[in-house]
Amino acid sequence: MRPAFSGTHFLCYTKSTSMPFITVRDISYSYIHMQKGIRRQNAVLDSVSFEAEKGELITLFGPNGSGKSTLFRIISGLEDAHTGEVRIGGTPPARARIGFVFQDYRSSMLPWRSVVDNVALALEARGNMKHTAIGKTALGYLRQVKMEEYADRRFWELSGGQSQSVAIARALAYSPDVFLLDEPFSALDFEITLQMMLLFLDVWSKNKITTLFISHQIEEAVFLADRVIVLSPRPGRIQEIIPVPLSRPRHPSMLTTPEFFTTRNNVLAAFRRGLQTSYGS
Amino acid sequence: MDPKSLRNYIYIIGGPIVIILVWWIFSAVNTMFEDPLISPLFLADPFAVLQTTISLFRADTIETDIFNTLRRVLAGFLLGAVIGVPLGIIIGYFRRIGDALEFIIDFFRSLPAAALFPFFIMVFGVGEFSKIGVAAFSSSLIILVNTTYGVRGVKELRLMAARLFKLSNAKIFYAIILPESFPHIFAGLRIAISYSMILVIFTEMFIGTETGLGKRIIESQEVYRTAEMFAAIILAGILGYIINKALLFVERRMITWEGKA
Repeated sequence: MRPAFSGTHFLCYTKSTSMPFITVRDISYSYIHMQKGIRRQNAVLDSVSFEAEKGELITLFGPNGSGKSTLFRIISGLEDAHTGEVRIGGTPPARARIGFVFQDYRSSMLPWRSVVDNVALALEARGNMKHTAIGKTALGYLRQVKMEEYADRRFWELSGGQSQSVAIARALAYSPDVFLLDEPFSALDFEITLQMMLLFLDVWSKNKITTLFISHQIEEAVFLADRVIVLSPRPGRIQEIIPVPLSRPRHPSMLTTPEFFTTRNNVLAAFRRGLQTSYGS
Repeated sequence: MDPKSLRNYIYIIGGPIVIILVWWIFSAVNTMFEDPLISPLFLADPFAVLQTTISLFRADTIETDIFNTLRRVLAGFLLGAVIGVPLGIIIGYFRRIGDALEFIIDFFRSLPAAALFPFFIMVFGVGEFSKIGVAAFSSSLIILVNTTYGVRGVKELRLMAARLFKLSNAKIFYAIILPESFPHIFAGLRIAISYSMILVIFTEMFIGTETGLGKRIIESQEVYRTAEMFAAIILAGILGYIINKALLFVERRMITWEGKA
C-alpha cells in the first residue's frame, strides 16, 4: 500500500486553505572539489521541496550524508543553494530570524559568559532592547526551560541536557520566526532525551514557532513531529513525507500506542525504500 | 591544616632545601681539600651568598639594579604587547594579510633577537632604548604569533551562531573572537615576559649600562666577587619567578574557562 504522502505528492498541505510559512522549493546543492586537478561535483541535495505551515513541527529523518545539515545551512541562509529557493514568511532566509540549536552545545555556547549572559547574547542580537532590561528578560527565558536557578553558572558545571536547555532558551530569546534544531539531543542518553523532548514540546507549543528538527533517532522523529520528512541517501531527495496521527499534547505513554508503532514502521519502511533505490541494484 | 596539604607543603619546601643543602655540603667539602675541585674563588657557599645579599640591601644599592631591570623588562614586554596583540589580531583576522606576512614573521621569529643587539646599539645608541628595543622586538613576535593562532582558532560553530544572530562584525569581534583568543594571547604574553627578562639581563652586560642585575652580575664576575655574583643571579631568578606568577595570577582571574570548554 502506498502511504498517504509519497514522494510525488509532497505538495500536500495539512490545511489546504492556509498559506505555507516555510517554502523550500527545488533545492539542489553540490560540493565542488578538486581531484587530481579535475573539478568534481559531489551532489548533496537533489531537488528538495517541501512546505511547512506556521507553527508546524517537522522532523527530518534520513541516513548520514543525506544532506540534512546542508539543507539547514541553506534554509538558515548561511549557504546559497545552487538551484531553487527558500522563503520564510515570504522573505528570503537572510531576512528571517533563525533560532538555531546545534548538536555540539560545548562549541556553540560562549564559555566566558555565564548561562544567563549566553541567553542575553540573543537579546543583544535583537537590537531593540534596553541594556537594563536584558538581564531580566533573559532570566524569563531561562525560566521557560526550567534553568533559572543555573543563571549564574558556567557551562562546564552543566550536564549535556542542561546545556541544551540553555541553548533552546537562547534560540527562543532571539524571538525567532523559525526554530532549526540539528540533532540537538543525539549526544544525550535515552532518559535525558525523553525529558528534553517533552521540554522542547512544551516550549514549542507555548510559543507556536514553526520548527524543523533533524533527528537520527526514529522514535524521536515520530514522537515530536506533525510530519516526518524521510530523506534518501546522498544525494538527498525527499523519499516521503509521513504525517503523524498522534494527538497533542504528546505524552510518553504514546510511545507504546499502535498509532505510534504504525507511523514508526511507515517511516522505517520509507527509509529502507530510500536505501534500496540508491544502493539496491 | 589537613595532613594531605601539610605533606604537599613539605614536598614544596623540601625540594629547594635539599638543593641548598647539597650546595652547602659541596662547598664545605670543597674547601677542605688542599687542591679543591673548584677553586673557592669561583664558588661561594649559600651562607656567604645570603650574607652578601643582606649587605647589598643594607647598602641600598641592589634595589636600584632590581628596579631598573624590572623597568626595562616591563617596558620591553609592554611595548611588545602593544605591537604584537593588535598586529596578531589583524593578521589572524585577515587571512590574506597573514599569508603575505607569513614568511617575514617566520624569518624574524627564527632569528635570535640577541643577534640584533649590536645593530640596535648602532641605531639607538648605548642608552636605554637599545635594550628595551631588543626585548620588545622578541616579545612582540611571540605575542603576535600566539595572538594570530588564537584568532584563527575561533570555533566555527560559535561564528556560525553569531552569524545566525546577524551580529555585526564589530560585535562578533569583541563578543566572540577576542575572548576566545584570550587564552592564546596570554600564553604568548607569558612566554614573552620570560624572553624580555632574558634579553634585558643579557643586554645589561654590555657597555653603556650603569645599573641593572645583568650589569651587577658581569661586574662582580670581572672582579671575582663570586658571592655577589651569585646573589645577583638568584635575585634575577626570584624577579623572573615573581613576574611570571603575577602574570599567571592575572591570567587565572581573566580566563576562568580555559581547558573547560
